[in-house]
Formats: sequence, structure tokens, C-alpha cells
Amino acid sequence: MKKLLTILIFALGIAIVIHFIHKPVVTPPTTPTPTTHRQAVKIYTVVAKANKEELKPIQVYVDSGKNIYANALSRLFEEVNSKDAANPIPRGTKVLGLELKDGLASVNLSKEFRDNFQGGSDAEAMTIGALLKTLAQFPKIKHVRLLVDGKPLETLGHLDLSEPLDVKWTGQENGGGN
Amino acid sequence: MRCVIRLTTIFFLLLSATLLGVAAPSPNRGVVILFGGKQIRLPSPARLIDGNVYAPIEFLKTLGIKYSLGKTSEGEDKQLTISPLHEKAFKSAVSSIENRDMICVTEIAPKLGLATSWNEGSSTLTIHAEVEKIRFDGAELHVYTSLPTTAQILSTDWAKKANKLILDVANAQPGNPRIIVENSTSAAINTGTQGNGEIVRIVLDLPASAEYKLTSPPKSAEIVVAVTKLPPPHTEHPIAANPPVAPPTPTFGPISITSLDYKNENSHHTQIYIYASGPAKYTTSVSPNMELIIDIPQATLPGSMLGMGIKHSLVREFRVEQSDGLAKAIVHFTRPTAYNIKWDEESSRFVIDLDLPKGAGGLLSQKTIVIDPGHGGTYTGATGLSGKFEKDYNFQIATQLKELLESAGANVFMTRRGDESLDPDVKIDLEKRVHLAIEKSADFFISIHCNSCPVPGARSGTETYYHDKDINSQALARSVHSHVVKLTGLPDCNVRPDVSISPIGLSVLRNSATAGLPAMLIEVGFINCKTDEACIGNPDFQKRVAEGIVHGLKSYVEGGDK
Repeated sequence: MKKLLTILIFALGIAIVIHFIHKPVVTPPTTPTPTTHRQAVKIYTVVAKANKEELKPIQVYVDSGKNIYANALSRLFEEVNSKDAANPIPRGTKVLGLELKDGLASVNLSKEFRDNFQGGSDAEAMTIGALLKTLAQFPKIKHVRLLVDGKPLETLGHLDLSEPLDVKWTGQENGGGN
Repeated sequence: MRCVIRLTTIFFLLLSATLLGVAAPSPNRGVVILFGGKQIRLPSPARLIDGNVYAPIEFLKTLGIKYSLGKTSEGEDKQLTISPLHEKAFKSAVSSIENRDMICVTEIAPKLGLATSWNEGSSTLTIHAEVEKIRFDGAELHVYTSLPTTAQILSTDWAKKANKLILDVANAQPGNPRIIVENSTSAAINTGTQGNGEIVRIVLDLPASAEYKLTSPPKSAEIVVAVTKLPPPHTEHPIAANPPVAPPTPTFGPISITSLDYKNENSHHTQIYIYASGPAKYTTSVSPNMELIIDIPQATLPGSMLGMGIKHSLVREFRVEQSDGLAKAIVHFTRPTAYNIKWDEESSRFVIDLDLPKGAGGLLSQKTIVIDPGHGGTYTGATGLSGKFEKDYNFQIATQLKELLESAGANVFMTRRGDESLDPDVKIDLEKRVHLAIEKSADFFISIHCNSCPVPGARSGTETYYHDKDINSQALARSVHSHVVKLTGLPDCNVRPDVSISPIGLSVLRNSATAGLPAMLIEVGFINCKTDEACIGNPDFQKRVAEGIVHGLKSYVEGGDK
């Protein structure tokens, strides 16, 4: 009986020592990995009718996470690249980054944006118009500056893009005529 | 044979009538003398006597030329000693006409180094200074003119980048200036004329990047530009700061139009006034028959108001119409005209400025035109449904245009001579095109393109662009566009400001506007539209496009319909 008591006290002692040496492993409360919040945004694509082309919005859902602006543009590029016709964005263009500072969004695009553009001034107007209109829905973005591989893009062949472009500019409407 | 004799008789009769007309002008006709577009003020009017223009001697003073009247004994003719600005003094006879001391302007003008031109119809003598000498000593550019006149530096980013100093000397003709370059082995000076030959453009090519500044007084016979060398520029492109936010647009209520008036400034400029109880958000359009239509919403005209008679060479008719709540003011032009409308709060009126557009007047054969076939080389432009490139169509049309303009006697340059790009950087490629026009002192820049749209076949027709609010380029674009559409029959997709398709405009047009050069860009048709491309590839169609452009240019320069 005395022997048993000694063993018990010894075991208790070891348990206490172990308790103080090793901190208990606390399993953190399982916070679910941030379920990607999806937000409805508008992306603008070309719609043609009766010698007229216009940029019309489509509602889509994108990640509201890290950079909703870049996500919206990426989604626009995916949308138009998946179709053969009515593609205002040069094929294969990727959004490399988008920085917003004091209302100016600097949009960094992959070189395909410049290298794969082939079109007349109306096509170029639609390319730039689709980008601007898509970004104009975000109140924090006032102006847009385009970059290709981190360097300012000045033109695609017709339009002067060498200054920040006002997203509120509303001249975009091609076509009509008498 | 008898017929020939009769014709010869008629010819001699006509000839003698003409000679008599010249030899016997109406005695002592009044003459207006112009310098710098303004009438020279004189104590008494100048006179035309026996084909010579006489003016009171004070005429010299108003031009900034010194003189002294020599003392003479009774009965002798008075002698005037005139000291030209850069030449030796000379003596000239003084005539007493209508009890005034007058000098014979037409006789002394060459001695003073003045260029003169006589307009018989309006009895006007126009005087121009001549550029006599241009000297660059490495630090200063000196331009010596026969009369004090104004000058301005044409300041554009790319002129700076290309190390060019461009100086426009007003109210001057090139003469035959001596050009001297000192202390610099690689600087070069070229001259040309601008406007209606009333501006001398001096282009100084500098060996390196420099800063320059006009240091002479605003009006001077020795124009001085100080040139300081700059360190090589940074290659980094800074991102420009945000443009300021536009103020909120005011709201407008109903207004009533009260009266009409106009004021002719001179034969090139008039102002029409529409007096109203307040401002309004008006819209404008120009019809192909050269009617400027101003729609003023929520405006009421007095029932009796129909318009007014305007006696001016730019205006055929001015009328007003009421249609429901809308008041319409319609100005029918006699020729392509530059217009600008503004609200004058102080006088509570709309002011419509009408001007003879820049480069208009004279003959097409006296003009210098730079034709810009869009794209080239590695820049293919749009691709047609046939797989052919826009750059080639542009060049074919441009070549036809060049031939037509040259046969009309105009001075023509092309921005590219074949299938080539002007620079590996597309931005610089576009800048170089306008740059050429400035160097050549061109009157007009005509860029030729073909369009494409994202949806193949969705669109068809001709569109013509001008830069933003450039009223001269707008008049040019309208004139050319209407003639092209008339000859080709392609759908008319209108004349539009470039800012309707892009926030800050099209590169070549914006750069031209900065340089004050009337410029337009025509998109002949859509090469990804089957019917349009079939036309654009056809040499006969291309010729009609070129003819339309020539007609439009001729109408802009010389007036009238063609």
C-alpha cells in the first residue's frame, strides 16, 4: 500500500514537472479559411447594332479580396478572350498589377496589350473605353494611367494616352451617322 | 481670216481700255495702309496718285522708323532724311499734297526693306517687314527685321526633345536673309513661311538639349532668343499629377431672346450677338451646305424676330426660328469658316465669333501640305477581311492625293516614302510625322487612315476627326469630309472631335493643335467591312477619295464650293 502511494506521488511529481516544462498545445479555434467574398461588378463589352457599336455592361462576380479593381479587369479580359468576336481587348493581355494612389489607378498590363493590338482608331477607342468604363464604376478611381510591363504606355497607334485619363469622360459612343 | 482680224481688234480695244483704266485712276483716291492686319493710323488719309501711294510723313513714325525734315529755303522742295533700322540713312523728296507733307510710300518701301502688296479692289496697301539677317552665336539667336514686329516661340515638348528652336516672326516675309552661325559647328537654321505668307518661321537645329527664352521687347526689330544648354534629360517618364476636378455644371432655366446685333471687326472676322435674359446649354451642328445651327433649349424668341441682314464676306444669311420650346439660330456661311460661341455674362448675350480659318485665303497652289499615310513598316494598322493591311491602303490613297495636289501646284510632302516606320517607338513615330509638318512650315496636315471596329462588319462609312476645340481644324475637317463623302458615296459617319472617342484625343491631331497647325485625320472606311474594303482597294475609288480631299482643301483655302 505504501509502495503504491509512493508510485502515485512520484507519477504526480513527474506530471507536474512535465506540465511546467511543456506548455500545453492549444489548438486554435478553427477560423474558416476566408471564404472568398464575391462581389457583383460590371464589365463593359462591345455590342453592335445598325452601323453602331456601343460598350454595354454585363454583371459578373469577382473576388472582392485583395484588389477588386484588378480582379474586375482580369474578369473583363477573360470574358472577351473567350469569344471570337467583339473583342476590344488585345488577345492574351494579363493584368500584372493595379495601384491606386490619390484617385489615380496605375494599371500595369502585360506586353500583349501593346503587341497584339491591331485595329483602326475606333477599335482603339473601344479598347481604352472598355477599360475606363469598367474602372469608372469604382468611386475611388478618378483617373487611369496605363503601363505595359511597368513602363508608361503613350499610345497604341492613334489615341494619345500620355496623360492620366479621366474615367468620367463620357464621349464613348461610336457610330451612328446619316 | 476676217474672224482673226475682228478678234485682234477686240483684243486691242480691251487692252487699251485696261491700260486707260490703270493710267487714269480716280484722282487722289483714298488708300488704306495695313501692317500686322491693322490699319495704320495717320493724321490724314493716304492717297493713290498716278499709281503711287503717298502718305503723310508721320507714317514712318507709326512704323517705328526715325526721320528728320531738313531745313530748306523758300521755294525749294523739302528734303527728308530717313534712318532705316539696320541700314544707312538716305534722303527722300517730300511732296506737298492737300497742304500736308507726304512721302511716296511705294518708292521708299524697297529702300526701307519693306515688302508691299497692293489690292486694287479694296485700295489697300499691305506692308510686311522683311527678315534681313539671322545670326546665332551659340548663346543667342538674333533676328533682324526691317520693322519692329512681334515674334513668338513655338513651344512643344517634342520640338524641345528634338533640340529644335522654332520661332515665328509675325507680319513678315522672308526676304533674302543673311544667315550667320558662329561658335557652333552643328547648329543649322532654316526658314519658311506660315499663315498667308505673313509669318516667317525660323527653325534652329541645336546640337544639344537646350532651354530658350525671348529676351527682346514684345515688339522689336532685333528679336533675341537666349539659348542655354541643358544637361541631358532624364529618361524616366514621370506620371503627371492629377488634373484639377472640373467645377459642377450650372443648371439653366427658361430664357427669352431679346435682340440681335453684329459687329464686323474686319473682312476676316465678325461677331454676331444674341441678347438673352440668361445663359443656356446650347448645342451646335453644321450642315453639309455650311449652315451653323445653334439650338438653344427652353428659349423664346419675340414673335417678330426672323433674323438680321449681315454685311460680311463670311455670312450669306443669318436667321432665327422658334420650334416649340427651342430657339434656333442659323448662320449660313459663304465658305468654310471657323466659329466659336460663348456666353458673355456682362452683356447678357451669346457671342458668335466667325473667322476666316487659319491658312485660308490665297490659292491652293501657294500652300504647303503634309500628307500622312497612317502606320507603315512594322506598324501594320488594322487588318482587312482580305488579310491586307491598312498601312498599304493608306499609302495608295496618299500617293494619289500627292499626285493630284502637285498637279494643282501645291507644295506637298509625305511623312513616309514607302512601307516604313519612322521610329521603333510608336509614340515617337507619331511625333515625327507632325514634326516634319512643322519643319516644312506646312499649312495643313492631312492624315489618311482606314478604320476597323471590334465586331467585323458591324460598321461602314467615312469618319473625319479634328482635335478637341481647334476651330480651324474643325473647319478643315468639315470641308474635306463633306467633299469626300459626296464623291465616294460611302455612309457619312460624321465629322467629330477626337475627344469623342478618347479622353485627350488622337496623338497626331493633338500634337498638330499644340503647334497651331490645322490638321485632320480621315478614316476613309472600315477595312473589316466587306463592302467598304472592296471600295478602299479599288484605285478608282481611291482617286475619288483623293479628289474629294483636294476639293475640300480648295474650298477651305479659296472659298466657294470647290
